[in-house]
Amino acid sequence: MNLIINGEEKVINTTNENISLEEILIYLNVKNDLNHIAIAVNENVIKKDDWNKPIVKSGDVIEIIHAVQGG
Amino acid sequence: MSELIIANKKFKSRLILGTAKYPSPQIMLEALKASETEIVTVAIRRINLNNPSNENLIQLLVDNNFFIIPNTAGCYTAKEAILTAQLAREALKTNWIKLEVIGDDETLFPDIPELLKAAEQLIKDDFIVLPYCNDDPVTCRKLADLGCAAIMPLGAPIGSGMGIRNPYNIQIIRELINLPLIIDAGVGTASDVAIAFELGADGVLLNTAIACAQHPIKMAKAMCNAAKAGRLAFEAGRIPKKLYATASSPIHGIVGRNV
Repeated sequence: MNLIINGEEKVINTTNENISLEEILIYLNVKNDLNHIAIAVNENVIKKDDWNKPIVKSGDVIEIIHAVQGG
Repeated sequence: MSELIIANKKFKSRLILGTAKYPSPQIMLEALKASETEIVTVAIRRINLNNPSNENLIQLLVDNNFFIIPNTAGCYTAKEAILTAQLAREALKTNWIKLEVIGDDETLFPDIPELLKAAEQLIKDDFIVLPYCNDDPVTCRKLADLGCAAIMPLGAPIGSGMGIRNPYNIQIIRELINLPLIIDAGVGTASDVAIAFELGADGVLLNTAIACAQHPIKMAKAMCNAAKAGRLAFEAGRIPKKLYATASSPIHGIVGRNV
């Protein structure tokens, strides 16, 4: 499955047509506090309650963000 | 000193501090405490996929009871700013947003048409919008008319430390706008903060002047004192400026003078 995640091309090895955001976070080895990150798929913010649903398909553009020091 | 009230939420401190550029998280925390601020700002960025981090800025700030407002710093279009605000709301569980839409790399001046477009959309989406804008009274009035919770004109370019470059515009904005007026950006030292409050600002938002000072914690305390002094002076009501002198001591009974 080909995805664009945070501006980078990523290939996820899966036979499924759709996967969940939780699976992607595991694949990416994201160590951030999941309570304080947010994810958008194709510019739509996905609520945490839906991260376990298989909504991601090949070609999707995903943004995973967190808060950093800022002014 | 009276409280700062934004969107019906009361704050004892009238300073809002950014959290960037500090030499270390510990110095940041000590400086924030020294400033007596209750409100801090954070930026929203992509997580680094190649260097996963478990640093938790938000938990540190929450544990120390700060009220956190995310910003849209780095956004150059309304579309980018709106998505960033929506992501921030989901990540931080707040509908407050410091709205920045930048129009120019060198000056970091705001792009006003894009800012207005983003503000309108975010307000419709139930955000409490605090827009960083230029010190143009007309722009400030338009933002107020849209329903922004506060108006945040710059004192000078972000990080420039030049102080309040156009005090006359700030005074006009103060008279025009019946909303919290927060000077955002340009502060260099404590006197700039005092001047902002003396001009009638309800709050000052600053970052670089403290974080990049030689002694951030001392500067934070200086800013705190300046905010209190400036606001008290404003509330006390300054004397009018006059071109000629008026004697302070009695003019009658001066020794050796025949009246």
